Amino acid sequence: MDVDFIFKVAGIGIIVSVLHQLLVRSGREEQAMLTTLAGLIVVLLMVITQIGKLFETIKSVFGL
Amino acid sequence: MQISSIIAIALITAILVLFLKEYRPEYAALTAISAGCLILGMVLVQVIPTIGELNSLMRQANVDTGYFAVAFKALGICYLTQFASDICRDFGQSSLAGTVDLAGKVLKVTNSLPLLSGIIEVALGLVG
Repeated sequence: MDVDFIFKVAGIGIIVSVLHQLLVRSGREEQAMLTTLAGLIVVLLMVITQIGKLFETIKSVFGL
Repeated sequence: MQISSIIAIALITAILVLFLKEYRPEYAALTAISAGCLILGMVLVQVIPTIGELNSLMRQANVDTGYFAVAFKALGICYLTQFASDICRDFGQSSLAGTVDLAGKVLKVTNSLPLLSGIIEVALGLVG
């Protein structure tokens, strides 16, 4: 894991918020909602992998 | 690990989170969590050799390493619960944070209960 990961998450957040604004302005509320949901799920999966790695490291270091 | 890089990561993430909170609060939470993971991982990499050193010192001093393992387990539980409860508190879920804290305390007590029974055995041996 690198600092790039944080920028990746924040970048996806910014892109999704821009997409949301665009879709809402053009009157497609449902698609805007679905875009937000899809982006959230993608980022959640990425973050969950990292949290799992962190927990594995702590388990191995402290012998939990 | 350089302290300057950790400070830089923390400050940049703080600003990103501040920015994202206005538009997409859920991404702000995820950014903060990933930064926490990164910094904690960087610190843990530094901790590994220290633990090995302390273990070898204890072995030289003929101290039972079982006691040491219990202490390190408690330390690991502390780090994890602190991480999780701080994130919960950051995003307004103080009741969840309290529950995580409680879970950590209970786990630490159940973890160190064998030590307590050992002390009581020694005390009873002295009395009897």
